[in-house]
Amino acid sequence: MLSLDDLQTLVRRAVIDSEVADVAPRLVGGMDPRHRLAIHRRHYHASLIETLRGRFPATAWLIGDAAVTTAAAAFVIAHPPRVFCMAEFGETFPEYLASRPGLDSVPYLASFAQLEWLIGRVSVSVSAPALGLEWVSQQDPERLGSATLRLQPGVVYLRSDWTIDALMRVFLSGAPPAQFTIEPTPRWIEVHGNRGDLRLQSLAVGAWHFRRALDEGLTVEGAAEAAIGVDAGFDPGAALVHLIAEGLAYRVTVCPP
Amino acid sequence: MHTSLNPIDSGAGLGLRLPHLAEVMATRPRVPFFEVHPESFLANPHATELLVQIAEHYPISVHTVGVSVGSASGVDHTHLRRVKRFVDRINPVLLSGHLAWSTHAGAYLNDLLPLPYTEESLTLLTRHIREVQDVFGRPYLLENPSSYVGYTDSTMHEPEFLTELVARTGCLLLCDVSNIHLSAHNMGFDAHAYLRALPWSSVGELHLGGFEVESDDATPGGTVLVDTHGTVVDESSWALYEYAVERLGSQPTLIERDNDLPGLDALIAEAHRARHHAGVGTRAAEHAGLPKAFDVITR
Repeated sequence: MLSLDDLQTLVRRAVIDSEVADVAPRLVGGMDPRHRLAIHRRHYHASLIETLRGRFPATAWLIGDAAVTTAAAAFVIAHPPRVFCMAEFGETFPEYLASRPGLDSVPYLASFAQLEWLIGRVSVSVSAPALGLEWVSQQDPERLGSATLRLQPGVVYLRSDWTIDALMRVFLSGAPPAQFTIEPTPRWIEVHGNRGDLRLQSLAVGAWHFRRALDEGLTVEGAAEAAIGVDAGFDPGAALVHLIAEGLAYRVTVCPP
Repeated sequence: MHTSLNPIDSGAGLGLRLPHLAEVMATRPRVPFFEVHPESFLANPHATELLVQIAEHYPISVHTVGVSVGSASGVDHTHLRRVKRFVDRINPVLLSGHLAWSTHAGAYLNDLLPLPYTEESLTLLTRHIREVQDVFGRPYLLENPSSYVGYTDSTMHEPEFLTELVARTGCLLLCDVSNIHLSAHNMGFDAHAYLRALPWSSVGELHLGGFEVESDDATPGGTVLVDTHGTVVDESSWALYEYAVERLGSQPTLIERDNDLPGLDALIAEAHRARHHAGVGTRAAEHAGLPKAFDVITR
C-alpha cells in the first residue's frame, strides 16, 4: 500500500501533467477508472484556463482569444496555482504570455497584461476615509519631511515604455477605433480603484516617483529626493498637496520632535 | 447578527455568488439563509464589504473550498488565518468544508479530489479537523464528496469513515444529498443504504445541487454523473432528499448553483421547492411514527 503522500503525488501528476500510468492500478471506478480520473483532470485544466481568460479580457482583445487560451493551457501545467483564491491566480501570467513563441515580438504585451492584472486587482479595493487638505496646513514645516503617508489600498504604480494606458482606455471605452497606433513613449501610470470605480492616469515622471516612493513607505523627504533625482524641477510641496487633494492618502505618521 | 438557523421554514437557503450580491442588498429577497465560499471574497474587499452588510439581515453559512483537510502535506495555516479573519467579520451560523484534498506540496489543484478510506487517512483527517476546529473555535461540518473514482487501498466505506471521523473529532456532517445520488450511480452503491448508515444526530446541514449526465468513457454504454452545480436539482435528488428528511428530520437545506447562474428569482423559486419536498419527507416520517424535530418545519 502506498502512503497517502505518495498516492497524492501520483494523482497530482495525473491531474496536472496527464501522467496516469503509475496511479492507474490504484484506482477503482467503472471498467477503466483512468477515464474517471480524467474528469478531475478536465476540471483542473478547464477551470483554470477559464479563470485566466476571465482575468485577461483586454489582453485577449489585443492578441486574440486563441492566443491567450493556448498560453493559459500551457501555463496551468507549468505553473499550478499556489493560491487558494482564483482571483489571485495569474499574477505571473503576463510575463509568461509575453515569452511565448510568436508573442515575444510584441514588446508591449507584458506590460499591457500586467496593467490589466493590476486593474482587476485594485478595482475591487475599498478606500479608507482620506486625509483632508487641512492636514497639510496644520503641519509644522520643519517636521513635514519626516512624515510617512499610507496611500489607499487600491493605488498601484506601473511604468511602461509604451503608451499602454491609452491602449487600455481604448479597450475600456468599448468602442475601439478602426486603427490605433501605440507609441514607444515612456509612461508613468497610476491606477486607483475603489469599489468598482477606476481611475487610470499617466503622471509626470517626478510625481510618479514621488507617489510610488511614498507608497513604498519612504518619508515625504525621501520621496521628494527620489523625485528630484529624476526631475530637478520637481516641486514636493505642490505634489503633496495634489496627492492629498486627490484623496490618495488616508493615514499619516509624523515622528515626534 | 444571526446565531441560529430554522431547519427549513421558508424553503432552502441559497449559495450566494458575487453576481447576485448587489441584487440581494437592493431587494432583500425572502431567503432563510445564504451560503458563501470565503475563497470568492478573500481577494475582493468590496464584495466582502457588501457581504458584511448582507450578514446584518440574513444568517450566513461559510462553506470553504480551499481548506484541504485531506492533504497529506498538511492544512495551509496562512489560508486558514485568512478564512478566520473573514469568519470573524461575518460571524456565520455554520462553517463547513469537504471530505477531500485540494493541495499537494504547495500546489492548489482547484478541485475536490478523492481520498482513500484507510486508517492512515483517518488519522490524518482527525488531526487536521481538530486543527481547523481549534483555529475557528467552533464545530466544522464536513461534506461527503461527489465521487467518480476511488482507490483499491480503501479499507472502509464512506459512511463508516465519516462516522469514525465524527466520533474522533466531534465534527458535524454536511450531507450533500445530490452527491450521494451521484456517487451511488458512479461507484455502484445503494444511496438509501448510504443514508441509513450515516450518524444522523451529527448532520447539521443538507445540500442539493445539479449535475450533468455524460457518457462514461470508463464503462462503454454507461453514463457518469458529473457534479457541475450548473443546472437545476434533478428529480432523483429531490426524491432522495425526501427520504433523507424522512430519516433525519428537517435540517437547514441549501441549493448550490455555481455555473450557468440564472437570475436570483429562478434560484429562489427552486429553493422554495425544498419546502414542499421537506413536507413530503416529514409526513412520511410522521406516518412511520418517527418523532420530534420534524415538528419544527410544520409550524
